[in-house]
Amino acid sequence: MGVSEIIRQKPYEQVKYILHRHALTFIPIILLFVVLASIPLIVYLMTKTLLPSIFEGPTVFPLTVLAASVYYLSIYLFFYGYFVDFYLDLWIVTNDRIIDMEQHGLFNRSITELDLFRIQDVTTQVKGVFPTIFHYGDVVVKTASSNTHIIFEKVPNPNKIREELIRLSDEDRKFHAGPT
Amino acid sequence: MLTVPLYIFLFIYLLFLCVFTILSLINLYHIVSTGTFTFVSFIMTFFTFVATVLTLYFTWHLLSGIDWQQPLTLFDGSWFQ
Repeated sequence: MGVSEIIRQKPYEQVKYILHRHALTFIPIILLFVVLASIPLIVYLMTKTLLPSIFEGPTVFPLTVLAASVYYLSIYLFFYGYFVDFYLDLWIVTNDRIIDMEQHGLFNRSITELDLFRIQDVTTQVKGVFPTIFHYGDVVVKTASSNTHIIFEKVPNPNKIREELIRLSDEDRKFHAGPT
Repeated sequence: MLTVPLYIFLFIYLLFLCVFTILSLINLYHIVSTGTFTFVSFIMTFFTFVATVLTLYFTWHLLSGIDWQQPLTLFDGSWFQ
């Protein structure tokens, strides 16, 4: 299934941007995964050195292998689940609207739409050392008529996106105003 | 004395594998159903799949010669005497 089908793309609509969070924001999870994956190996090596015969028991060995297997499969599941949570948060900008799709855990997904011509205010926030160096941050889009607002979280090049949103919003406003 | 056969733990492990499979498939379904099955998500799915297969292979390989009928004592009153 493509993005066009997910957003029920209108005939005149063109997808301008499909935005995910910056890839760098996933690196802490990769580091956590590496640390968690190395813990059993470290424990095994330490135990093997201090108590060499502990794994030789007829029941201890299979139970240890089963426990290690459960542990590793659990961290793969955690890692994959977190990736899905990370990657399924996406923001689609077309020449007509913004669609905010957010995944919260395994069974919670929210979708918000906002017409471009309703945009009143677009703000960018780049906070911290890494966001400043690698050019990523939040883009906050607010409307005039309601409290509805969408936040593009930790997306690359937030300033460029802000400028593009303002330009697209102006174009859409002219389109909706009709010929004068 | 409370004793259980070792295969009880194998059954618990198989139950865990069922839950693991269901949750992994739900994650995969999310990726496919939301139109985000791209090169990046393919690589991550492939990595997880390969890691899972290797883990299961090594688990099976290490446990292939085990006698699952042998008893495991969970509690024995003599431990406290």
